[in-house]
Amino acid sequence: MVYKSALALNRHHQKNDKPIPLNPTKITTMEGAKNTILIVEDDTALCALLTTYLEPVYQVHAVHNSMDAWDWLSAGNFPNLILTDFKMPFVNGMELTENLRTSGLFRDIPIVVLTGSSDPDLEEHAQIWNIERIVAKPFNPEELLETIDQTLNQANHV
Amino acid sequence: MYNHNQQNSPQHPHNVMWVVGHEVHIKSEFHLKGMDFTCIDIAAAPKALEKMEPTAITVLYRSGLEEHAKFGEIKDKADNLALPIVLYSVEEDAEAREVATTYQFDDYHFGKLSDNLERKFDMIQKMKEYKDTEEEPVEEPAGVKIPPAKRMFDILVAASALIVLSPLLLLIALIIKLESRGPIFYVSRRAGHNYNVFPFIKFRSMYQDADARLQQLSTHNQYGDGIFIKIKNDPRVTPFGRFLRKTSLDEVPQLINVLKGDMSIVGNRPLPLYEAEQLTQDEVAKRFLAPAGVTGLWQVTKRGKDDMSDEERINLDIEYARKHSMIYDMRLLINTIPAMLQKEAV
Repeated sequence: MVYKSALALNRHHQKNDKPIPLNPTKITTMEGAKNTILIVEDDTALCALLTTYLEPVYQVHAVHNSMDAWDWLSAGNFPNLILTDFKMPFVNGMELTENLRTSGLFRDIPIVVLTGSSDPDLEEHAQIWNIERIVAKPFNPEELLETIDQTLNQANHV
Repeated sequence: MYNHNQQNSPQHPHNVMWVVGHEVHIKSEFHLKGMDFTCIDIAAAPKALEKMEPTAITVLYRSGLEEHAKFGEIKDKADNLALPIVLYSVEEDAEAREVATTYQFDDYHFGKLSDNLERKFDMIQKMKEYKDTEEEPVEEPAGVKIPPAKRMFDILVAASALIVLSPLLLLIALIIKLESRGPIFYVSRRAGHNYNVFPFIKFRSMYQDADARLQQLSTHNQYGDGIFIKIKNDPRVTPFGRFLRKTSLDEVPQLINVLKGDMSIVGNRPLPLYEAEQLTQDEVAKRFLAPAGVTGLWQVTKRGKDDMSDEERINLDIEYARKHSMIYDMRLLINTIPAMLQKEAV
């Protein structure tokens, strides 16, 4: 399992006297409010299942491809965590996560990757780009929930 | 060896329009990391875009300049031409982040003009190309909802069946208590529609320590090493339990689950968690996007046949998830009766 703790979502706030105005979704990082999760999963049924399963606990936005994910992000949304599939058509999880990590906007958002097959490239990719967690499909939804919760907690405590 | 450039990459080298403010004095053209940069003053940039035909745009951010007002215009032009547009600042800058977000730039980049920028242009370009080709309506990902008519039917049937059968159920309860030590009901956690986990109620048909013995018996599993576990002439089952199973009377307490709304009369079988968690993957997860039920398509199709593979069962569940409707449910329900009568001990 790959884990990197050097996350600081609020690091940018400390640098300047003037805080960055919060996006509506960013407000959910405050205590007591729901964390926001972006789900990127091309299997529509699995995507729906994940959404329904996580919705009682988190504010969920779900999309079926990397393009819609990037659109939603660059429209000013800032999730607390991104849960993404790895094998996706056109722009796959490898490209999406690399571009999140090299982004001046989104590089600190914790990422949990869902993967259907054990891919040796993924392991290496995850290390290079500090992907917090890899979860294999099929997964136990209760365990996934726990993994997400842990990843969020670790991110918030840095 | 990990290969950075395994994706098919669009045009190279990138011909980047480098948009700068009025007061910036910089070489008008430079080459870096496989990218050709041409510097254009921000005021001239929108017009120059058509002539220059760049493959990407980088806007240099400097704080407090009135030129920010121009960003919107440049962004709109970039969108029309489907060009990647990235805001750049030399130092990391919170205000630049805000500006990039406000004007919905494709991304924000700071620090060294590294290989990352080139790869970023590639991916954004790729995404924009995809957008040009794919314009399908986006359906909202949502779980299954039980229609009110189905729910009313469930309550009606479950309630009346429980009332009619209550003398029989009391008798069964008494016999279970007398036959072997343990509770009347066997409650296990199962995953129903939308992977909703609930306590699934059955009449106890096994001796109390049955679950613990399951591991030892796994060699007798008539379905091989599959997801579904079922064992022939299981010694864990009590004699009366065998009768209950044969007549499906052990399933009757599920009507309580139906009343509670955990499941329906007709639907996909709620799965024990060890089976359910094998199906949270592409292609098969759809089986959870259907009502869970006491009886369903696979029970009707091949009730009691040993030769049905996991795959067949899962496919029938998925088929039901695609087709389910009130009329379809009624047909399945009617077909359940002969299927039950034909049932042999399994």
